[in-house]
Amino acid sequence: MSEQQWKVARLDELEARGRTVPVREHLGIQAFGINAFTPSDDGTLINEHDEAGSGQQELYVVMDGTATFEVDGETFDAPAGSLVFVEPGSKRKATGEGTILALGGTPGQAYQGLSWGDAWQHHSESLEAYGEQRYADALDAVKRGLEKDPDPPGLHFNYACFASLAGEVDDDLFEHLRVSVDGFPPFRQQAQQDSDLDAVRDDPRFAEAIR
Amino acid sequence: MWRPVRRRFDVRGFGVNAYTSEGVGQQIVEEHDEGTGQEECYVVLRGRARFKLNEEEVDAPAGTVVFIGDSTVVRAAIAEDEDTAVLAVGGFTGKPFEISVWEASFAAIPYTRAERWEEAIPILEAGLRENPGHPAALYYLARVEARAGRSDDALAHLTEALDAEPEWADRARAHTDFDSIRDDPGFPSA
Repeated sequence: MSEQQWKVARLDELEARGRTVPVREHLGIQAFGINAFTPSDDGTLINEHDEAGSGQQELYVVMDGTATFEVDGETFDAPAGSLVFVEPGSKRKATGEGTILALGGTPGQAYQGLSWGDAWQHHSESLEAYGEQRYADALDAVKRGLEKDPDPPGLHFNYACFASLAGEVDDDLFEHLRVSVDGFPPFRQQAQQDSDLDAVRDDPRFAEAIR
Repeated sequence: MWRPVRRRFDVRGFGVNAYTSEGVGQQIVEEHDEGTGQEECYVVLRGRARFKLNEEEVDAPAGTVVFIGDSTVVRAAIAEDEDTAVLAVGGFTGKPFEISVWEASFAAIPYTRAERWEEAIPILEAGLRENPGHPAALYYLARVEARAGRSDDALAHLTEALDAEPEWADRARAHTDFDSIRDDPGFPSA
């Protein structure tokens, strides 16, 4: 067997980062997104969010246990074996017990994955706060993440988003946005579509940051 | 049994299908390589599968992920449990996902096996729209159109297919699906 030709792993044996199993990173997959999620203490499986900014379609697979999904205000149960497909503009979240596999990709675009480096824990914390609309807490978690690892462009992009949502609009916000675009060019388009940045899109510093 | 997940949801960001078994020892992933260049990831959702990757066998109980990054690897899987289900995910590195030309062919099989040609044709036409000019899509559509008695359409699509793949002419001359148009002046001659 060539390690370069294929890789085999058990989901429950892959090293988790909190309740996220970064399947894509572990296996070196480059063509699509794939991760697994286990529940948080309060039963959250998928934090509330949409993918309008990235345009990513997502397919959730309930691997075991039972999940309850809410998509655009509609709630439904999803037992093991369920497949839940969500278009990018739809708000989704899921709670329950068990494991959910999440697949993602954007139509018409080559997939480009993001790495969260050593700051993955702070990133996870920030997403949890974001899902609960605690934007100041989400921003605080990102700031702590950047202290631990200043490299991940995703952290810089989320800084801009959470600062915008929290009303903390200053030069730092646009500098982080600029750094995110330099490090991950797809953020240039995402910034123009992401509703998290609606409050700052008309600021002249916005256009300069994503230039 | 092929479960057409991508078609069911019209997923366009990546490829995804599922396969379920109808008995122990049944082929659940047919032997193939990914000549298209796709990366593929198989996830055993339930039951147990035995994968064969080139000449190596891999035991894969539920929860196993098999990632094949090298498109030349010949892969296949057999169900080891009666109720086995495998999810297959695919995509291209560095370029957007494209719907595979075989998908429409697979979807048309239940109708062509039942000789319900008129019901198969719209499926294959849709496949051709997704893969315009693809010789395999043209050729298969031509076969079904010939069986349906749509001679003009069959000849036109067969001609276009053979323009792209002239070496298929011998195959076309031998295929019984084309019996209804074999004597047409436009049919490829030896």
